[in-house]
Amino acid sequence: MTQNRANGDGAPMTALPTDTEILQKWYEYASQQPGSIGSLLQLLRLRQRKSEEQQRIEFEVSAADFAKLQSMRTPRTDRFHSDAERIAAACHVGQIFRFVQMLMLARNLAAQEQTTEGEVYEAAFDAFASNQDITEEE
Amino acid sequence: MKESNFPQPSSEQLAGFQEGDPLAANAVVELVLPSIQRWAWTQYKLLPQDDVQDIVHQVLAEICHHYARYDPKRVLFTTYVIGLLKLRLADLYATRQEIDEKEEYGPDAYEKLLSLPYNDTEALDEDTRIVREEFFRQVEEHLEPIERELFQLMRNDVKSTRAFAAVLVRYGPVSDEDRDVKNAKARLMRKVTFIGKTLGYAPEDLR
Repeated sequence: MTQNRANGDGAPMTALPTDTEILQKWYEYASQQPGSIGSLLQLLRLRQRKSEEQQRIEFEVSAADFAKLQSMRTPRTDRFHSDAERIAAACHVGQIFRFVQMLMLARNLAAQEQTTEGEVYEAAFDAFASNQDITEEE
Repeated sequence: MKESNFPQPSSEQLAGFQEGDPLAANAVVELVLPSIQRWAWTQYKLLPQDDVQDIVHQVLAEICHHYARYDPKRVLFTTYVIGLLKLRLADLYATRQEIDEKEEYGPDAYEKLLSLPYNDTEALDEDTRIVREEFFRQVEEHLEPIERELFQLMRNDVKSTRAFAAVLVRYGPVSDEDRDVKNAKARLMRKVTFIGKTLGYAPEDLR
């Protein structure tokens, strides 16, 4: 699956990957990034104890399209539903309604996690501040 | 704006990209990534392909994340990507060079070179001895006079830094005897190894 280049003498040079291979690598990378659909679906998988393959089958999407789907950035907040539907249609998702529902659920879970993390951080900060007050009072 | 050899996104795609439309961003990436990736591999041949690929991915991901920063009226999209790429790849190149220099001039650099098969003088059978002699003869043809003299010293198993420095002094100034001798030996061994590979010698031929 690599393209063989040749120099002036016709001798083969280092083979470079094809467009498809280059894009596959990109999909893999982008789907791991925060703010990608992949990161939301991964959160859902962890909560639902599902494998990637189970999730893919649930949405009725091919492996190649699922890789692309996960690499895309999450829908915009002000038009989440419509963006999610467009993305699903572009990636040939069979269960569009199910996918959109799950993505919204994942978004809410992610928001919840962020809030929880924020609360923990604030609580830790408050505890630190109150400790300091005690020390200062002493 | 200058013309470009790279495929350019349409104005509709760019408008969507600027609004943060995920589908437009994907379309733009799919359009430009393969050609930009190949350009980067070709331009930065000295860097490992995987490292170059990582940088290209990082840059594109950042551009998609900060989509509002790109202004299509000022510069072509691929020019914008390549501008950022060049900066990152230059950083990567500088980092790699730093690592290479540390390895090259590190405390065990010379010891590593000494362990190369050309210096293994123990119990060679006759066939190997003939191969080695032929190898040394061919190598010497490709060496500069100063390198040939240093090579002779190394072949004669001379260890004294002073002896090597004496050769170097005859060809140019020596500021730090130890360092200059070490570097000259390292350079020479790299060249010898390269010549060996070019001539088709495998390390096992010389053992």
